[in-house]
Amino acid sequence: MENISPVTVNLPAVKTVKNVSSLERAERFWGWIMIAPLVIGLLVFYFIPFLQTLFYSFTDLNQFMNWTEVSLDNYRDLFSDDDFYTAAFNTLFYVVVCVPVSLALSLLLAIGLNQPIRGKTLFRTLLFLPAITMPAAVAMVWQWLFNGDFGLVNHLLGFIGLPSVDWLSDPKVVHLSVSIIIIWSSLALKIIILLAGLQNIPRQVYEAADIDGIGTLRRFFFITLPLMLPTLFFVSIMSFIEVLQIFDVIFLMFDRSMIESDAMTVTFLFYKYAFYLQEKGYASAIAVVLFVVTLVISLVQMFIGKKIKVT
Amino acid sequence: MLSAKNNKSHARPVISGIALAVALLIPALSHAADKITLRYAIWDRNQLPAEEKIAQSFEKANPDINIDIEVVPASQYFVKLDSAVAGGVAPDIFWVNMPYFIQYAQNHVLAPLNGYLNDKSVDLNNIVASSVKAYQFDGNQLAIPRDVDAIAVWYNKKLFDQAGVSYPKKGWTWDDLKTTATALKAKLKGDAFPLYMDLSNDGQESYLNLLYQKGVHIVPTNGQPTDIASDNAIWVYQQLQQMMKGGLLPTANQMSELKTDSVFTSNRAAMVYAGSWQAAPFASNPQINDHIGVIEMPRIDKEAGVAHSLGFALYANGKHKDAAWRYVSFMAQKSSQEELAAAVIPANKQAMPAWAANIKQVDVTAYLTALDHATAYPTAGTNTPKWQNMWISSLKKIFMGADAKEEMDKSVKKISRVMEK
Repeated sequence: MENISPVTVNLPAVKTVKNVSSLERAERFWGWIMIAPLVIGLLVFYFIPFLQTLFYSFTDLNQFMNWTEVSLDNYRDLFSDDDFYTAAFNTLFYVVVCVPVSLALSLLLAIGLNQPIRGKTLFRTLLFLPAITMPAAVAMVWQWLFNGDFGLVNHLLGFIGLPSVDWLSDPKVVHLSVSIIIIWSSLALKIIILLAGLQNIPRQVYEAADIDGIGTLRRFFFITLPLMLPTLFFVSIMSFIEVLQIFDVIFLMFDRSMIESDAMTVTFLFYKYAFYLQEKGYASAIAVVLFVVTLVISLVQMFIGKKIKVT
Repeated sequence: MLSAKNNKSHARPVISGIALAVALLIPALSHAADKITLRYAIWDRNQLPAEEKIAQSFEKANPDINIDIEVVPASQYFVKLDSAVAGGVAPDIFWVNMPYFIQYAQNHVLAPLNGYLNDKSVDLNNIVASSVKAYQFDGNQLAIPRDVDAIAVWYNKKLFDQAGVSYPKKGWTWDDLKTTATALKAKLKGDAFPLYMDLSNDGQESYLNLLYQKGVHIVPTNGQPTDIASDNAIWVYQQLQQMMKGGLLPTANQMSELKTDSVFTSNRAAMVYAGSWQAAPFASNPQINDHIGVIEMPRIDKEAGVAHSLGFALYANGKHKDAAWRYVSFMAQKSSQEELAAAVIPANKQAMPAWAANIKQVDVTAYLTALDHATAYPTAGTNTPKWQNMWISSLKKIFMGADAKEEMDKSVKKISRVMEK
């Protein structure tokens, strides 16, 4: 062990903590070694690119990575860009509609799957399938289902005597069809996490409620829901981040002109400027703004989550 | 060495082995050193067979050069090329198109060819003049036009016969088109459209041609601002708007789910505006090729149309520019261009007839006539994709029903600002 101690001394964490035994020092060293792949990965693929993006958001970087400094111009342009407001509005719309609906639905489904019902494993498998399906495949399948001429959805609507809907090309329903797909594909993971949460609630609490003769509805609101709050908060933070960054489904499902006019989201706006209009500096500013918004929402949620846990 | 001690004798096979390996490697290495490999990037898989044939005959004539063709899907081509240039690893030779040309030229990505052109290995006089001019920048030729395309109207004789309407005739006008489409609309059964033109894209197969035929100047030239919000232009937008309302064209909604090739090859459109790159696929499609025809676009005020052209360019920081030029000049020769004619109209005028001759099922000479009065694809300023994008989103609103004049008056200032940048 003697021969490795000089190395550990150089590590910042060890330097600051004094009076550690050589055993502890060795443990720390190996601890760093163990997490090194992850840390290096994070640095190279997340942290450094993030700093680069932040820097480039103050330049007019073009596609050949030539840039000159333009200080705050990108941000000034961004906040006077109509497209940005459309994109921000659409993204917020998806957040406001999809997050609560998918939370409520996945909680209900998780409770359902937690009951002793027949074919539980089959239902669990079926509901989990979207999570392991490639987004491209999801988009393709929905494209067929939603096809205006021969899609299954319109066919079914016809059965019950309703008129067909141009799900993919009518600007009035585009938001609805996108929301349906977002909700559908985001349920699976949430159900798994919520199911784990449900199974962590002690059985005794329910038994006590049974003895007191409490009804199903009250049982849900006074036992299940409060005990599930921490899990629900975790899932909702994830869900917010996921919807704020929605891109693949929209990019794959719609015609370009459709996306640009009616289904535009902030991430698509970023894609458009970075890879199509060749204004990577401006695109970086969009990414930074999206980052700040996501950060603020997550911080607020975490703050509320902590408050609730304490009481 | 041979009389060395016994214990060293086992080293002999090893030494001779190394000597043998070195002896074998030296010629291989020196051979590899004088053989150049050129990377050549293209984006159309349909044209790969022709490209490979040309590369093979070049390699036969130039044993010291090896051609490595890289195919990148069109939708990712410029994204990938941009990053390759930024990283200094761009291919030695690549395709460029007109919208992206200025950006590449301005950033000194393309090698100037004037010096090479002095050797007379490529005669620019043999190449379509408007395309040659489109690839000039600051008095320098920066790319050699590779192919040209034009737009013409295809019609489905079966649908015309069903409706009892006579086929379009040479020299027809915009009014004739509208009368024909109206007659078709009244009598066509099922879900076939009288007319289809792709309005959801950059307009190369649709409104750009109509605007040129109405005398609209799209690109600001000699201090003249763009004309895309002028009365003539508004007239064109309104025509299309009315045709959508009247059911002569699919609506903007329907159009975003329809594509020219699928609509025409499934017998769902009586007339379509289509580019020359569609000619070979249409004419070889057994579903339709016994009952289709091609005619020049109907004329509005004058005969005109858009022609676009891809170019061969050399990477300015390429290591083997001289060798790369040898390959480009080979590809620009008549014999290579005739190989290319299997898929597209070659830019070399001498090789052009080979294209129409290749397509035996249908007479496609209408495209060659259309080329005679075609204008180059409009590009302006440093970021053509950007102003095009803004213009397309305004047009989309118009095709969805917005007032053409109001919408264009609102957006033309912004668009022309980008055009002039």
